[in-house]
Amino acid sequence: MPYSYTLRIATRFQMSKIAIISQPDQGVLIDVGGCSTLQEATQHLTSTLQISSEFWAGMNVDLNLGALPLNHNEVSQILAIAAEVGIKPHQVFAESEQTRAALHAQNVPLGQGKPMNFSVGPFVCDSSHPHADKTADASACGQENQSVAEACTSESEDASGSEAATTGDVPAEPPAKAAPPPPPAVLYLRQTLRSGQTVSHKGHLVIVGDVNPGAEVVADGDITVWGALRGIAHAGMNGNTQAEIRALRLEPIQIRIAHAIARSPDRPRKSTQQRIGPETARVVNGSIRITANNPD
Amino acid sequence: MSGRVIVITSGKGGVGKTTASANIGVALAQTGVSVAMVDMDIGLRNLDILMGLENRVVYNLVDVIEERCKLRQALVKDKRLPNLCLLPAAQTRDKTAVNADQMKTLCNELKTLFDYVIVDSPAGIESGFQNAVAGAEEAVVITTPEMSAVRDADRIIGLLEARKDEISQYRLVLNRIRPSMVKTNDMMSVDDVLEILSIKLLGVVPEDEGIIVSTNKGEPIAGTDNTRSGLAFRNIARRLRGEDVPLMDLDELNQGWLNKVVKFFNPARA
Amino acid sequence: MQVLNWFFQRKNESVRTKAKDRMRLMLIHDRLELPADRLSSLEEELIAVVSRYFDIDRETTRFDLQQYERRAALIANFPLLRSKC
Repeated sequence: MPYSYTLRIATRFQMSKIAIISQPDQGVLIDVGGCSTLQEATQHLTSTLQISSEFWAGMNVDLNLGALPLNHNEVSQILAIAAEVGIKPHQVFAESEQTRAALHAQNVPLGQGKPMNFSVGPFVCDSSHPHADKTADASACGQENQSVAEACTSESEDASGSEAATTGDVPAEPPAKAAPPPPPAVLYLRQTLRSGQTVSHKGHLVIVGDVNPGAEVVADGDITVWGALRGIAHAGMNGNTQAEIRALRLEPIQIRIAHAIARSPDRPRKSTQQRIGPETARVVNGSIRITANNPD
Repeated sequence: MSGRVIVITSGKGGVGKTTASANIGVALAQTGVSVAMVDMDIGLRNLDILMGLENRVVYNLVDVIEERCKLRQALVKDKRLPNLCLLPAAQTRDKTAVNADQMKTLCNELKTLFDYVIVDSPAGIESGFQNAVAGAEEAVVITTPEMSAVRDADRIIGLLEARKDEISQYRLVLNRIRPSMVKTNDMMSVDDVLEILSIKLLGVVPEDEGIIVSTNKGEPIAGTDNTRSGLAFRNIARRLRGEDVPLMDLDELNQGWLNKVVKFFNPARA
Repeated sequence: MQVLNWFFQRKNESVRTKAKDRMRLMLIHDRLELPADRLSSLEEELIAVVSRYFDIDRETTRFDLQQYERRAALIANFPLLRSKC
C-alpha cells in the first residue's frame, strides 16, 4: 500500500473532533456517514479538511457518505470540496442507492461493502485500556486509591533537572512482557489542538503546535509536542512503559504513561513567570518523573 | 439509601448555573449528607474547574455510560469534603453521547449511593437539557433579574411543568441581585421576578466579586469564607434539606454610612 | 447642584416598572406562542363583532393582556355608546 495511516474524522459529533488511528495497510478514511443532512456533511468536510491541509498532500483518501441520499449535484458539491485541497477520493462508500447511482454516473470508484470501522474516542482499545482492569476495584469515590499522584513539577529548579514527586501505578508484571515491539509509524501533525479535540495514534505522535486544556492526545509510542502541552497526554497506551512525553512547555492537566498517571499540582508552580524550558516525562521505578532538557 | 436527584437548570447560559451547582453541592455536603455532583454539560465541562478537581479526572460520565469503567471509578472525590464526589462530563464528546434512558439508569444508581445527587444541566432546552432532567425528581431554576434570563427561565419552568409526573417540585434561585440597583429602581426586584414567573423561591444570591476569586482558586465560595454569597448558598442548602431559613436581609448589606446619610435627607429614596 | 440632585432625587420607578411591564407582556406572548400580528387581527375582529350590535367608542376601546399565576387573560373594554337594534 502506498500509505499507512487510517484517519477517521468523527463527524457524527457536532464538535470538531478528529481521531487519528494509524493502522498499517489500510486507507485514509474520511467519514461523514454520521451526518443526517447534506449541509451538515459539507460543513464537517470543509472544517475537517481545513484543519491540516498539508497533511492531505499526495495522500490517497477514502470517503464514506453513509446513508445520505444525494443527487448528482450534491455529490459534485461534496467532491468539489475535497478537490479544493487536492483530494480525489480513492473510493467512496455509500449506502443510499440514489447516491451510488450519482457516484457511478460521475465515474467515481465505489467502495465495496462497509468502510473500515473503528471505535471512536481517545480510548481506542476498550478492553485493553490499562486502567480498565487495573483499578476495577477502587473504593467508592475511589480516586484516593487510584494512582493519581501529584506531579509537583519543578518545585526547585536546578540545572540537574527537576524531579516530579509522583507515585505510579506499577504494572506487576516485568516491563519486558508489557513492552511490545516498537511502534511502526510516526504521525506528524502541524496544528494546535483545541478543547474537545482528540488525536489517538498507534505509533509515535509529533505535534507542532499547542495542545490546549481540554484536548487529549493518545499514542502507543512517544508524544512530542513542539509547543505547550496543557491538555491531557497519554503515551504508551498499549502498556509500553518506555514511552515518553516531551514538550517545550510541559504544563499538562494530567499525563499518563502506560499504567502510570500523574496530575498537575493543585497549587500552580511558584514561579509561573519564570520561563521553564523543555521537559520530558518518563516512567522511572513505576512512577512518572519529569526532567528538564537542559543543554548543559 | 434512596437519595434525592435535583437538577440545576436555567435555560440561558451565563447566569451562574454551574457556580450555583458547585456551591449548592459543597453547602449540602457541609451539612453532613453525602452528595454526588453530575456535570451534564458534555463537551463543555466546567464543574471540575470550579471545584478545583480538573487534574484528578480520569474517567467521565460517558465512560460510565459506555461501560468503559465502573461508576465508582469515575467519581472524583472532593479535596476537602470526603462526602462529596463529582462525576465529570466528557470534554471530547457531545450531547448525543448520552440519552434520557441511560441518564435515568445512572441517576437511579447514584441515588443508592448518595443522599443528594446534584445534576448540572447544560444551557439551552435541547437534548442536553432533556437528558439532564430525565433522571431528576426536583429542579432548581437559576436566573438573574435581567429580562433575557427571566424569559428563558420562564421557558424552562414551562418545560418542567410539562413533566409534572416526574418533577415533583421546582424552585427558583435568583442570582446576582444588586440590592443597591433594586433600591434605585434600576433593576427588577426579587418580588417582581417572582410575581412574573409565579414560582416558589428557594433563595437569593447577591452579586459578589468573591465568586470570581473563588472560581479562580477552585474553591466554591460556600465552603470557604463568610461572604454574603457563600452564606446565601448555605441557606439554600438548608432550605433544600427542609429547614425553614428566613431570607437574608439584602437591605442590611447596603447600610453603609453614606446610605444612612441619604436616608436621613430623603427617606423616599432609601 | 449635581450632588443635591442626587440627594433629593425622587424615586425613579421608570426603569424597573418598564422592565417589569415589558417582561410580563413578553412572557404572555411566549406562553401563548402568539405571533406578533395575531392579537391585532383578533382585536379587529372583536371590534367588528361588537360593532354589529352597538356603536362603540373606538377612541377609548382597550385591550389588555393580564397574567394570573401562569395563565393569561385577555381583558377587552368596549365603551358602548348606543344599541344598534
